[in-house]
Parts: sequence; structure tokens; C-alpha cells
Amino acid sequence: MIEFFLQPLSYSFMQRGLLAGMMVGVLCAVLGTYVVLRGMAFLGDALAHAILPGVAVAYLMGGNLLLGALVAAAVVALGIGYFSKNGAIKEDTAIGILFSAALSLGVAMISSIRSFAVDLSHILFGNVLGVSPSDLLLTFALGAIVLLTVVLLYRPFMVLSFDPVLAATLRLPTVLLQNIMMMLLAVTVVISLQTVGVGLAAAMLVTPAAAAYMLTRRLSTMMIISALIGALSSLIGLFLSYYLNIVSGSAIVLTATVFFLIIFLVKKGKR
Amino acid sequence: MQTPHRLEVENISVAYGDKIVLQNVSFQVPHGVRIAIVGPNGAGKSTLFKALVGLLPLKTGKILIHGLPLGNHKDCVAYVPQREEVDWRFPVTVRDVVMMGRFNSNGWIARPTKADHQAVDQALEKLNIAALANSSISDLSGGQQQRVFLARALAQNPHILLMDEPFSGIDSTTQEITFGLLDHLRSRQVTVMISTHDLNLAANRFDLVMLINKGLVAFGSPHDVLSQGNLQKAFGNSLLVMDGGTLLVDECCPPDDEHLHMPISSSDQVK
Repeated sequence: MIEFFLQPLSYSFMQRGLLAGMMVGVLCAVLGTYVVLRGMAFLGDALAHAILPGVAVAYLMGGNLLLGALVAAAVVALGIGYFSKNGAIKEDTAIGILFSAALSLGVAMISSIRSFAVDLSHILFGNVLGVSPSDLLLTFALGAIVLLTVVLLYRPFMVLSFDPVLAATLRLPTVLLQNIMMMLLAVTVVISLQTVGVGLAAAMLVTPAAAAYMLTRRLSTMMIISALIGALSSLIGLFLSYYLNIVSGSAIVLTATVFFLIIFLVKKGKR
Repeated sequence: MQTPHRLEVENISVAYGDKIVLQNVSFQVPHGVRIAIVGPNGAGKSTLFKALVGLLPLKTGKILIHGLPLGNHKDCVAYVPQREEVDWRFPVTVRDVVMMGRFNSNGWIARPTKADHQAVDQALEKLNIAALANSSISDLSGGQQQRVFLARALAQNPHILLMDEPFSGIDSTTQEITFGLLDHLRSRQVTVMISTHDLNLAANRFDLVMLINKGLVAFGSPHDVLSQGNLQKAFGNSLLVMDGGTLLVDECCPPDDEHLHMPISSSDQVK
């Protein structure tokens, strides 16, 4: 039995994958709390897809893929704010326009490179077993920054999310806070690129947080439960992926979905 | 020397985009008075409030509080929005929401101080919801929600309190608790401005009445302001004039407005 758990961990790539996966699980789940409460699921999905051109450019230039993705995410996140400023167009319309444009640009760039097919599938669905030591370091460094910011800005983010009008009357820097939250979301999505990929990042943002929402009526507790579900999903998903030989991203997301379904059905049964 | 007015509004116009909602409004409010703001739907009552707290930019004119332009007073103005404006399923407790009012007292990253906790406790006591402090806001009735908002405003320790339609859809207990609070605030020289559709309340329980319809129609004592001529100007065809007196048929609320038929639960009664 112990062998069952230890055997995969004898490979260093599995150890790194597991660490990276759990970090991503926690990050997505914590940020996902705001995504769920503020109804930003569409935005999270859009961000995940919009980083594709950044990855493509970084690949073409032989640079760091994560860095390229980060720049693209920042551009798109701030672009959405710019276009929807002062109600010029609705925010979800701005998201729709920018996200499809960025995705198209990314695909166009990638289609010009022949050898990209393998990497593309990794970008779309994640390749948690290809996490290099430097990737792992970057994941943890960025992850620590994101988590620290969420803790420091816990109260302002709570007020901004619950009652933006109060935030404004209290003269909080609402635009700045909003942009910081967007950047945190962007960084999180970029980090999750490696474990669950562009296609499934949104699920890791939404599913654990939605499950946690059903279990508690406190924001901090919701974050902790969500983080636990996220980390466990990564852990269990990775073992499933190892033994069943399925894509790691899918295994992780499906595990999170099972958590959600169990909680949903138990809750429903109680009523 | 004459006591300076707490609030001076000089010739302000407010617009949403190109649509002007309030035009050339000027008035002065001495301190500690209780003002009812009355006018038909779309008259600009909420808009006036939002301008007063600095949520909407002014097209023309200026707003001075204690002789200084808006924005120089962090904790001066508290705004109690209509209850429907926030998501009551947000995972926070009653205490969390009231604590949000203390947000600016010591910088917005710092943790709440002892003074903050005391202010929150007092506000909860004052509104008779101390027993609900640790309840989730999703479990509250309409009247209790109203009291949570009032407690939050009280904890803000404002000089000027603005309340948007606090009396629609609440039980009589909450209404009396609200007026009790207003008396308490008057003793502390807090200026209170309340928008309401209840003309009887406006006529009988306020020092001053402000009649508006896209601009200022009349402002003064209830007896002077609520004259047939003024009401005709503000309400137009909604006003029915008969031999025996004046009958006002205010359209009040849009037909499907929930507070028309919101049930008032028995848990609303104070134990």
C-alpha cells in the first residue's frame, strides 16, 4: 500500500510535478474564491486563453514561456479595463473581443511552426511531469507573492467584492485594487499553465471555490476549504494520471469535479 | 460668527454619460438636521446621494463639506444604499459587515484595533442585533439586513449620513429602531438625509423636506414645501387635485419591485 504512494515519488520529475501541482491547486482555489463570488468565471477562462500569443512569442524567441505568458496576461487584463472604462463597452463584451483576438493571434503564430504540435498540446492541457527545477522555483516564488498579497489585502478585497460602493465612499483606491486583483488572477492562470493547461485553468479557478462556497459562510474559511480541495485534487489527480496513464490536467480537474459533485449532492440530500 | 454650514451644494449638475439627471441644484444644510428627500421615480434622488459621496463626477458646480471640497474628509459621509444593491449571499457575518465601516480608521491593511471592535459592538447593541453578530448575512430578514447596514453606518461615525429608501419593505419594528437611531444621531449633531416615498413620514418626522425632480423644486420646512403647487411641479400628472384637498398618487415603485410584496418574517421582531 505504501509502495503504491512511494513508488511514483521515486522519480524526481514526479516529485516536482506533485509540488508544482499542489501549489497551483492552492493558488487557483484561493483566487477562485473571488472569481466565484464576483462572477468572474468568464474572465478567468478568457485570461487563460489569452496568454497563448505570449507563450508563442516566447517560444519563437527562445525565451521563458512563463514570462511570455505573464506579459500577455498583463496586457489583456489591463486592456479589458481600458476598453470597458467609463462604460464605453460592457466588460464582458470587452473580455469576449480581447480573448478571442488573443487566442486567434496565438493559434496563428503557432500554426506557422511545424514542430509545435507537441508543445501545443502541453500548453492546452498541461504537462505537469515536465516541470523543470527552475520552473518549480518560479512557480513557488510567484505563488508565494500571490498568496502573500491575498493575505495582506484580505480586508480591502473583501470590501471591494461585497460592496464596491462602500469601498468607494471609504475612498479606497478601487481602481488600483481592481488592477491588482486582475494581475494576481493573471499570474495564477499563467502558473497553472504547466499543470492543467490553458484549456482547464478556469475549472481549477471555479470548481474548488464553488464546492467550498456550499460548505461555509465565512470568506476566510471558504478560502481555506477551497485551497484544501484544490491541493487534494492535484495530489489525487496526479496519482490517477500516473497509474491510469491519462493526461494529468484532465485527471486533476476531474478529481476536483468529483469533490464538487459529492459536496453538492450531500448538501442537496440534507435539504 | 455664524456657524458654518455642514454641507453646501453649489449649482451642481450630474450626468450619466450624456444624460443629465440633475441640473443646477444648490442648497445649504445646517448641521444636525434631518432631511427627507422626496420626488417621483427617476427624479434623481439616488443620483444626488451618489454625487454627495463622490461616486459620480460633477458636470458643474461644487460640493463643500465643512467648507472644504469633497474628498478631503475620509470618514465624514456615510451612505446606506438600498438593500438590493449588495449580494446578501456573500460569505460574511453580520460582524464582518459592520466592521467594514471601521475600515479607514487605521489604514486599510492594518488589522482592526480594540477601538474598532468597541465601535462595532456599540453599533450592534444600538440596533439590537448583537445576538446576530456571528450569523451569516444570508440568514437575515429584510429588516435585519437594514439594521446591519445602519449599524455599519453608525460604526463609520459619520458627520453626514445619507440613506436611500430605508423605509421601503421593512417592518414597523425596524422603522422605529431606525427613528430611534436618528434621534440618537441628532443628539450628536449628525446631519441625516433620507430619500423616501412615504410622504406622511416626510411631513411628520423630518425637520426639512427637499422636493426634487431632475432639479431642486423646493427645500424648507415640511409645511412650506409640501404645498399643492410644489407637489404639482414635482409629480406632474401623478397628482390628483380634488375639491376637498389634494390626493397624491405616487407611482412609488416599479410593479415588480420586490419590496412591494416582500414577506416580513416573524424573526424580525425584537426579542
